[in-house]
Amino acid sequence: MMRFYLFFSQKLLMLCCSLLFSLTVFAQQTVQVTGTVRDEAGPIGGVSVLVKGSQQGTVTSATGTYSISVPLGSVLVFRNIGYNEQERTVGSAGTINITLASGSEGLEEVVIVGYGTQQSKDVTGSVSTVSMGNVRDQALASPDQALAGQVAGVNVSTSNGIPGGGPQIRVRGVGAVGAASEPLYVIDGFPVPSSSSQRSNPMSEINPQDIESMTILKDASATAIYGSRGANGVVIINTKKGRSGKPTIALTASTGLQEVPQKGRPDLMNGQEFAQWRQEAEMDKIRYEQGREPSLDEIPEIYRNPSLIGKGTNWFDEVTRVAPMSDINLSFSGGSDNIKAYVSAGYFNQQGVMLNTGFERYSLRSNVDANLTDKFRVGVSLSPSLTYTNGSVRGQGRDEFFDIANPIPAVYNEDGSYNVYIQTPGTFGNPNPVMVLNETVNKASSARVLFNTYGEYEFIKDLKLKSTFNVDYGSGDSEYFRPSTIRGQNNPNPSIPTGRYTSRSSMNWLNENTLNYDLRQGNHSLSALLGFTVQSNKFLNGSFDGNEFANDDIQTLNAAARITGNTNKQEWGLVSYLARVNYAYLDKYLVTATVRSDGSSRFGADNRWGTFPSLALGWRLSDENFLKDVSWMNEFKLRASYGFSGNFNIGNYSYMSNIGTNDYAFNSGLANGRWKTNLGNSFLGWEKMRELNLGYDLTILNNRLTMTADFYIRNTQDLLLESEIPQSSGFGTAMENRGDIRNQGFELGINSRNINGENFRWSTNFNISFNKNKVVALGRSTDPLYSGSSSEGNPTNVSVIGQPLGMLIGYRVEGIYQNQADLDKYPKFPGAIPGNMRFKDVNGDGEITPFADFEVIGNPYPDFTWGLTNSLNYKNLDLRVLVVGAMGAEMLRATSYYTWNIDGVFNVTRDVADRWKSEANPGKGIVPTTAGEGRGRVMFRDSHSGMIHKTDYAWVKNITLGYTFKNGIGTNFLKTARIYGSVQNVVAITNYPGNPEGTNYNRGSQSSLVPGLDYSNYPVPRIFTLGTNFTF
Amino acid sequence: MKIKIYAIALLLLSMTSCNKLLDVDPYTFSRGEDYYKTEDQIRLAVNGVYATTQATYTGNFPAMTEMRSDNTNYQYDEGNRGAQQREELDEFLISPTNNQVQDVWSRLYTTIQQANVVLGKIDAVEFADETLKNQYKGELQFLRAMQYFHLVRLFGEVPLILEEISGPENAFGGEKASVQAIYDQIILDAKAAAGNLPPKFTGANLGRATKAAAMTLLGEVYITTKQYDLAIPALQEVTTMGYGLLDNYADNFDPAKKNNNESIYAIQFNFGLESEAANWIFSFGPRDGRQILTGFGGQLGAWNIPTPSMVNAYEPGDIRKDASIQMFTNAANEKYQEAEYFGGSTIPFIKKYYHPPYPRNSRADENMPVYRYSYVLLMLSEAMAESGSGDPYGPLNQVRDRADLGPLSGLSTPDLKDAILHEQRVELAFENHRWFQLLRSGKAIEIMTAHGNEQKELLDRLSAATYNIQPWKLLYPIPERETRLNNIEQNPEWK
Repeated sequence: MMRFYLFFSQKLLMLCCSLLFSLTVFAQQTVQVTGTVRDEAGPIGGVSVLVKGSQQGTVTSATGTYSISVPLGSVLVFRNIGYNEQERTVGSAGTINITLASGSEGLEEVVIVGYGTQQSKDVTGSVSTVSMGNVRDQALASPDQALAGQVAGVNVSTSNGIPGGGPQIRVRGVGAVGAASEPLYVIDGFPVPSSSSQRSNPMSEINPQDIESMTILKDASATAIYGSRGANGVVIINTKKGRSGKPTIALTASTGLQEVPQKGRPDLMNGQEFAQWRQEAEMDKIRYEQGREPSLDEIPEIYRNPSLIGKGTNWFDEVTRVAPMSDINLSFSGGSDNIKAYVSAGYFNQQGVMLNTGFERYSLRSNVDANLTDKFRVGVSLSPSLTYTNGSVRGQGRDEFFDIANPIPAVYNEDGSYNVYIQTPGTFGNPNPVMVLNETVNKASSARVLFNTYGEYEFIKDLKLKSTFNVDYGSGDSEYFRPSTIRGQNNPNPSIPTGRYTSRSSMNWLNENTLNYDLRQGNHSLSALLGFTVQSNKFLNGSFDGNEFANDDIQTLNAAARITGNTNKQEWGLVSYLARVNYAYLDKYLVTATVRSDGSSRFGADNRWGTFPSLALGWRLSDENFLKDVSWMNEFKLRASYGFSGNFNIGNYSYMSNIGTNDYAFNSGLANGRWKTNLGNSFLGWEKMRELNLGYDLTILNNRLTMTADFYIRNTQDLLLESEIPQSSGFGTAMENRGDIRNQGFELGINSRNINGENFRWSTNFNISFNKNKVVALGRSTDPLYSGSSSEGNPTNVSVIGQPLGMLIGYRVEGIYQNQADLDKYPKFPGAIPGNMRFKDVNGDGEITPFADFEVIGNPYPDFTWGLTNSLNYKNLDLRVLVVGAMGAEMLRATSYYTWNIDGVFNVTRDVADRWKSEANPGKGIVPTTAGEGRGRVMFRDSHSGMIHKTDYAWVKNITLGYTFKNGIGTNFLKTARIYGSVQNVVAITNYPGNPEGTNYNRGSQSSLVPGLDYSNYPVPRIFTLGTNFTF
Repeated sequence: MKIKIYAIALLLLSMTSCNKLLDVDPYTFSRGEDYYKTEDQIRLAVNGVYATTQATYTGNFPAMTEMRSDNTNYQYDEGNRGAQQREELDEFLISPTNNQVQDVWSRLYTTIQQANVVLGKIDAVEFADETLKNQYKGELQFLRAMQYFHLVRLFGEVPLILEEISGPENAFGGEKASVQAIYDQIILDAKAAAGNLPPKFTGANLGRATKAAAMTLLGEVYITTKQYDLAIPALQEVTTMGYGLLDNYADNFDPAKKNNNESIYAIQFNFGLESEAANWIFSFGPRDGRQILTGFGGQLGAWNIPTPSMVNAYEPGDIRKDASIQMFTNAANEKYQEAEYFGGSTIPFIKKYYHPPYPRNSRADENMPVYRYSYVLLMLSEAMAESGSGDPYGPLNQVRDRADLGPLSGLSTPDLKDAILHEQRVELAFENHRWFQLLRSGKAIEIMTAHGNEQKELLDRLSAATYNIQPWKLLYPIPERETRLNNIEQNPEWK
């Protein structure tokens, strides 16, 4: 291996250490030391090589080499995340080779914060770094998925397994109501729009393999530098950079299979059970309506002898499959002293476990940094990606028919053709769900280019001006065609084909100009940041529907007899001033003060600018004399912060009252019309988040145990709220800043090296978060705020002052009316008969009335969530297990809106077989009789307490077993080699019948006001992968 | 040094030129603050107010005026319970959360508020022709009066709002006005409209509200409030404006003969224009008739289905029966109990709004009549009969004559009133008048109770709780959302 020596140059050193801190070296009598740093697996790059007691230092290249000039007799400290620190005294010039043993994270690592980096010991805010070592080799499609279970206070709900979709991510609870609650993603310093609908996820356009580090900013002290966009937390993603030295080529490849676990599948009736149920229900109907005993001849023939039907068709099984997944990445890294480059290419392909779905990504990245002169650095990064998404399947069992379809008919006719229309007497006729998925054309493609460039100039020593220009350009289109062969619901005839074409493009640019000044004098050290930024985003899309295609021959809109559509064009602008000062006295007393002032085009002229200050204090107790000599304590720091950040995630023009088109026809002639479509509100402004954070960082037992704990109270004030207004105003809702929500919580993160032997090592990363949210104010009155809509049109959630946001509401089940005496005794609804559900008369008026007799039946928030990673190494073998979990949350299983539709038109869950049949045969008391007025059945399938389930779970998210060839294979060819097997989403241990991390993404409203509704979801697959990592 | 200067200059330049980035104008709509400033914008806005009335009728208004009455019911489909709330309207089972009632309430107020917006701004706009400005005002006054007239009859006391709601803070606190105050405002608006509008429009302006429409509205208001002495001259004035009965009754509903000489005011539709289609047969047609009646696959809405009592209401020889109701006979109907009465496989449906062929799915072309000249005549007859002045038989027999029925004469006063009520029922069936006619006749409870008993006799599924007609049910409940948000009182007994 050829070594590459760095030149001894103050400027160059500074460059190499730019990830650490700016430093000054006063060269004295020096000697040159070189060497290689490696671990069991081979050379490791990025290791800090520091001169103890000074700020001098360097980092190792990608091949693990370093070169440094130091005063004779100084002590070199070798540090890296995930390894035990080592120290060596420099006795003479020459070579010092080091082998680091993996272990806990050293506290003096560099932490990435907004607009810069800080040494971990100097950090005063709540900032968490994702350990990339704990993430690698997981089967991940997008970087945000990597956050699951890694960091306290970051809740990742893997609500679906849609290829190209994503999880729901919440930092420290629900901080927004009318505005989006997604955290802000900052990629290489560029805040990019990345609002995920879970069904489609902009982050999936970023290749996770290119990521060097991920950091989450949580408290206001850390996020205030992002001002009006910081309230939901900030995820800072930095991509890999080139390192000087011999070029390194890395190849990683993995391939695997995905399957749908048995657990969580819908528990629906099979063909025989369904026929049996229909037979009984039909007979009960005659008994009830005509008061006589029916004969079997009166029942439709197919239901007379259920045992002849057998199992019938399990539609869920039919629309799901085992699907392949593969991921290949090739990267080159290297450079000279003045130019460094990282270039990578990636291909990712995930076929979906539901038929005809899939996601493919082609990505390239090139990051180049150069020193043009001693004082002038430039860099450019370009990362285009192409993605192709097939299918727009949401996994919604009603709309996509697989949950409601009649289980008696077969998928295919005997000749192998599709059975196109699925119906038996009395049920809805549905299109064949397999055919709907296979025959519908739904393809989307997207191209995105992220471009960053910067120039940094050092005017005088330690005063640097950095200007960046960033562009995020995206464009995409989609095609949809529904052929005539797919039947409509209750329409056995060929349908008229419809098609759609959409296209979109967006252009987002950002210019940031920051001035950095570092000063260290005596006991004082100061770093200051001053900045001015401008960001603009333009968005254009078009959506065109084609109707009345003659047939399926031509599927583009050219063949549509009628085309309708519209184009949409929007833009927003953001102008910001920002400043931050970090000050440390004696390296023990730390102060960080931040302020950002944002002006946004999204807010009315009366309320356009917002200012977000924050202040944080830190005290490194472990450096105080009274603790300095405590041998078991390595680091102990107390932190306190208070500050403000905001949320500007609302529509671009929400404050304006809109005049839209509304045409009329006078005597058949077109009369163009306009109308006012909403109420404007020129005072509309930011959501303001105000947060107090208290915490400590503690490292003990020779750096083997680190603990970070935070307590916070955050209030989101002036909530952006689409508040209900009386319809007598001519409008149903208006956008207002109303309300105040408090999230209060405690977070604890622990890293421990439990066993740290020569051959066997075991380390544990554990984090747990407790969060409680409470409505302090909502809307203009103290009245409850209702939200959501059940399939019967009643609200599903209520927000009451003093209670958590969006508690689940519905009827409270008190039993079933067993007989006439019950009916006489208890409140009832008009037309109730024995066998109907007996609900609680909440308002005490003696009658059961929809909505009026709703009460709170469930709390959708967990008491705590946790993540646990255990890593074990034995010689060349390594094993890692990641488990996540939550306790205390309840979910309204909204699929029951249709799987408990006991009209007999849909398939139903198995428990319907044990329904109330007579007083002597009352079943399990869960499902009522099918007889009687429609209202009894309708009330049963509306929200009620029988649909509420606890979701307590522990989900083994990943198990990875790997083997590393420590010295590579061959001497000059492979530097390192590793093979591994990995299982993603291994098993969920829970009593919940569906996905315990389900969200409301499949309901009409995804607002934070309607949490806790599981309307079924695209199954999250279990993924088995085999992979290899090689470096050459 | 050069670089430094350049960098600083660039920075300063970008700082100063960027604040204009924050003034972003919308592309896909106009800003409300900038609108209603020119004559042309007012013209478009007036059209927009008319446009809001379409959805009232293609929505649930007919369910509240026809299906609630004895004229129509719905075809019960065991398998499709999605329309349960609409069905509860028919059977008097609704509660204040009923979404159909909520829908009609919000649509009526939408029209009112859009009219308020334009009425509030129009005076400040300069017009080349002051007559045109007055005409626009008259149209808006008519539209506002019409919607309040619907509201006061359906709900009784409601908030009376006459000015634009400018922001969310003003949307609350609309307390209920007395029925008297609402009628006073309707009369004020109707009279002002009559003063501002010409008796008739021609050409491209056909379909706009006219003086005749305003006077007819005024006449109906007076009849409803039993001010017959005022109703008679108002309605008589309409008879002098050049309107008359068409020879052929069925022509009134023919899409080829829209805005004819008998049409005083109708909601306008045209299925050739993308956003202007009606939906009648697709909503009102029999469940399994879509393929046969319209040529498209699937099912029809099957509400607003004529009841047996409606079908039987026509006197022998009344040509209006065949123009109004058609029978759909098909084996598929055998599973519906509604078909039993008509022989087992027949379901009647409204023919007034059925004019095949339908070139496009779910798009119908008929205008929805609001006021026809025949109604003016029948109201005149009603006013005369009620007040005992004038010759009620004159206008009544004009209408009967056109229907090929012999003249009536010499009836006792109660019999005459019944005859007029009956004549209105068959002449104006399915034109959204029946519920209001029942209310003002004072016979709503009697007639609806009898109708309910008849229905319960025919249809097994109807429980004892259905058609429990109480006096307080003659007003609809105020939608629960309104009582909750606006803190206004619910109508008596509703809960």
